[in-house]
Amino acid sequence: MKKTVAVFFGGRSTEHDISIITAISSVMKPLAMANLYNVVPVYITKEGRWVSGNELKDVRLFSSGNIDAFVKKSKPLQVSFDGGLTINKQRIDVAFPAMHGSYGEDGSLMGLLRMAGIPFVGADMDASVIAMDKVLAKQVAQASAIPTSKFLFTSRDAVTDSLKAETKRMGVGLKFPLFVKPAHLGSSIGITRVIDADELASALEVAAHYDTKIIVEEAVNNLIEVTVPMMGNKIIQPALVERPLATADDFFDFENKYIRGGGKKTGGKHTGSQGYSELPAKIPAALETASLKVAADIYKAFGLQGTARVDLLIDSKTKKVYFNEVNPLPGSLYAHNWRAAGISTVTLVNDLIQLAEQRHAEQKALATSFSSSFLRQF
Amino acid sequence: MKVLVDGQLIEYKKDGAGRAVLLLHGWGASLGTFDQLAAHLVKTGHLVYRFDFPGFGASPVPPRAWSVGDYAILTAAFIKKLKIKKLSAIFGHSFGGRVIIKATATSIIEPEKIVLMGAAGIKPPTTLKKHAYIAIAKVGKAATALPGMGRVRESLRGALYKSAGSTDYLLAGAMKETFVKTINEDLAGYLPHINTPTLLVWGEHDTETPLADGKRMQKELKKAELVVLPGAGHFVYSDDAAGTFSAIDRFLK
Repeated sequence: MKKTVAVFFGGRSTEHDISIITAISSVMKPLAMANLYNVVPVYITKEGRWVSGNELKDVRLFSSGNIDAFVKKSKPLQVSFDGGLTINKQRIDVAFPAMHGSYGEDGSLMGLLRMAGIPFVGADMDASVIAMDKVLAKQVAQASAIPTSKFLFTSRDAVTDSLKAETKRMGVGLKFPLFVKPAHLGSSIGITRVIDADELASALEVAAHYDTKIIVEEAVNNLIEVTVPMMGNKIIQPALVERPLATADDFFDFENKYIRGGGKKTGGKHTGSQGYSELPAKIPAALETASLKVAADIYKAFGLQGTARVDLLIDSKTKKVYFNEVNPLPGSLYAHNWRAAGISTVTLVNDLIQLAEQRHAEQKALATSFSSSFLRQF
Repeated sequence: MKVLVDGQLIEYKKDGAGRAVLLLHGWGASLGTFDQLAAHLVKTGHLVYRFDFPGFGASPVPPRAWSVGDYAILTAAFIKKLKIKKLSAIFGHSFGGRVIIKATATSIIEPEKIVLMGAAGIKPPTTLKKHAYIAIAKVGKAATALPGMGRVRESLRGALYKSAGSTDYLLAGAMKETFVKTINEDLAGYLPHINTPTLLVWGEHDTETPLADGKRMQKELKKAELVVLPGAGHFVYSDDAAGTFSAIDRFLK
């Protein structure tokens, strides 16, 4: 009998639109091709309304703009927590989150699925929470003796109330150039590279417009940026070390990553929605080995499971590899990289479902209740 | 790069070094439209600022429908935020020109020189044909006011605007109301209040803001010269880049 897989996508996130592409092209299509699953799409609008229906499997519903009318006429989702999860009268065997950023990739959805007690693909709640907070992630990395670039953090309130003092504190504590980032957002949204105090003050305001927590990091010199997709629960398997190719804008921003899709002059290998990159990265073998080690160390330190993509910064002169950030649900599952590593997207989604079931079975085996006579005394 | 100006996120670019200039794009365009012009100005010793107006390019749509005055205030706030002490010149194309007229006539921006390229701001006279379109629009609005006719109204409205040549309106989406506010404001009365030396660059075959608008601006402005580039259209700075640049170089000397 076919298993029923609910695919969650969209959501109240700045990466809403990217999630639609991940869900349709890298999750629902290969799941259909595997011919082992009934796929139930669950789409969450930018306003937080949940709808379902087979029409949601077709990207044209979104590209044509007809999605608004579809949502309008759709009945609210019927959800039952009946010792499992039932959506619109269909019992869900496995959940496949295909959401990026806030209210999805950040552990929120994982919490809900844990409560429902069903297997779900990818990182669990705690690892997702750590991974999606850039400050917390770096603190955990530091505590695990994994190198990170020097950083400080602040809050929206501090930026609003005392911008001058905060700018001074960052300027004194760190060495320019700096990167200013909203702590919880992915896809490089709201990130600014700054070279002086004026730019820093302005960038802090921009980041505070997006988030309540802001991280300011020193830039790594002689930079080579690489990323490593990983898969597994206990046994971890890396895909290929990939090098995104930045443009003159100095870093791999949202536009390069998702909108512009790279440019001919960079001469890199086209990798679909991820823009241009070198795959595999043409870096010395020693740096490749070191990158894979840092990526694996992070994966273990955060308790990641299923899949994740670990982004690293390399100082090509000192040969030091720094942890930058983790994506517990990388855009399009980084399927292009897995394909290049010899794993088809169909195999990838199948494996991820199996990993989800394994973890669920292990969690179920843990004792979570015990009999007591406590209530009898009342 | 982004900057927060009066609570509004603004995408901007800063290139080169030297005398500061600011470039304001037209309706539906973004700062990228000035890549060639900005490169030329950098070469001729300028620090070139340009930004995406709210609702265009990478700057988010404003929270309510804006008027030309709102865009003018934002432009002044941008200059202040970026600490541009002395603005050697401000450039505007089409809608950007509208913003400059309002902002400089009311002295909220005080550049040393102004360059208007195919600038908007003069309200075209209502022709017989337009009267007919307005009448059709009114009848159409009444006829489709019944419940359930909303979709019919949208498609009829689209066809009508297309036939009337007002495709900017259709492109506007969430910015519709802002667009309507903008085109309904005639800025001709502001022109005599501008004392700044102004260069008007016009394409001979401009159909969006016809040459007659340029001539009228030259007449109403206190210190204006008009350069007409033969064969060029509304996007005069790309239709005849060489002609536009040489007029600008001479004017900025």
